[in-house]
Amino acid sequence: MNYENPELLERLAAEYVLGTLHGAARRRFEGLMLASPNVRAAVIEWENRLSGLASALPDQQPSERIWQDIERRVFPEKDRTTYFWRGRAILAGALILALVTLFVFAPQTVEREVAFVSEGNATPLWVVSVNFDTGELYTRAVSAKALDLDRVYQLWMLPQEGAPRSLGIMPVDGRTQTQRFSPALLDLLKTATGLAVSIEPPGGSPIPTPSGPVVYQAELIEI
Amino acid sequence: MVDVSDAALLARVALGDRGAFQTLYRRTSPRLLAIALSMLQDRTQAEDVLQEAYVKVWYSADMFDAAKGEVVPWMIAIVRHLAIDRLRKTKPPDIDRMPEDGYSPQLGEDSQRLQECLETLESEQRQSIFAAFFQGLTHHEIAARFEVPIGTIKSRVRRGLKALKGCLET
Repeated sequence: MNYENPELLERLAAEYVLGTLHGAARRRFEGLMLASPNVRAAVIEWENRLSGLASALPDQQPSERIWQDIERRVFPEKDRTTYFWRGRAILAGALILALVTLFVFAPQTVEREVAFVSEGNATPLWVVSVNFDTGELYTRAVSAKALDLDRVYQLWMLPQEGAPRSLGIMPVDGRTQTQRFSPALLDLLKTATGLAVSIEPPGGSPIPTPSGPVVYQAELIEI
Repeated sequence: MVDVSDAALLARVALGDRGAFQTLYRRTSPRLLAIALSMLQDRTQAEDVLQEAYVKVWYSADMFDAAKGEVVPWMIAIVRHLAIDRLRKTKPPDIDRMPEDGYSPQLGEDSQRLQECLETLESEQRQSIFAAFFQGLTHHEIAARFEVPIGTIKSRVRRGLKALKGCLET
């Protein structure tokens, strides 16, 4: 079969999502999905088109043990929670455009913290996590778009005392970035009161503190 | 986390946030169970599939394409494929329990365009699509249900889907 034929691709994607593609044809098509972004895109479009049908069915509340079984399967070790982030970030004069939350969790053996930057109800802009075992800060641009050629986003932490410290230029357009920081900087981060994002010239602020406007600010919420 | 979007929750899940995962479960599981139950017609099996689906969501959250996909449709697809896998392994469903010929589901407010477009299809096309979506029936089973040759059903499904897409794009 010629899968490059758009009409055929469209038909197979539709029948795959509906569920009428089966047996060897279904397996072949799943192989094709792994290999081709065009095929995946056609499937996603059909998922979006047909899923509204499900709204015709009355909701069914699952029994409580289902969640417990799921928890047992995906969280094999006992939940251990630690609290690092406390308090609130207050940046005098900062232009706060977004409600930003930060939350803490500690899966298994690794202590991590995640800053989740969002504009109200919309898709998150960035997700930031810190692994204190490896000293790595991981930033993912979920929906943050590039500014223009001569402006970038720069991430800052607000230590309990003293001036903001740079955590580097932030990725955009779906990219992710992993950076490693010194133990001294990580210690400051553990007790920091917040995160902030400023707009800077390419390469970042020419001075040790933000030179451009602070456009997003992380309010650190303990959960 | 009441105001957080599904996409935001899933992004947190991708980073291993258990609280976000539980919130996503509470928010979406009644709808997903309804679909599994509609297809499998058995609560125990439907709840098994629901559990499988959330385990899959946890482990594949970072595969979700936030640029093109929508969270609930993606999760619905996961549940439906797991339910279909189970249906294909077990004995053929009881076609007498299928909805009547005139089955006409009332979709939610967010799906009114889909409802309108479904109503533009020929009744036989619509019924074949419903039998596949809500019951997870194969072409063969739909043909047996409506007592027509399989070629007729294949063509109804194909034309129905094509017409539906055409309508939704206008």
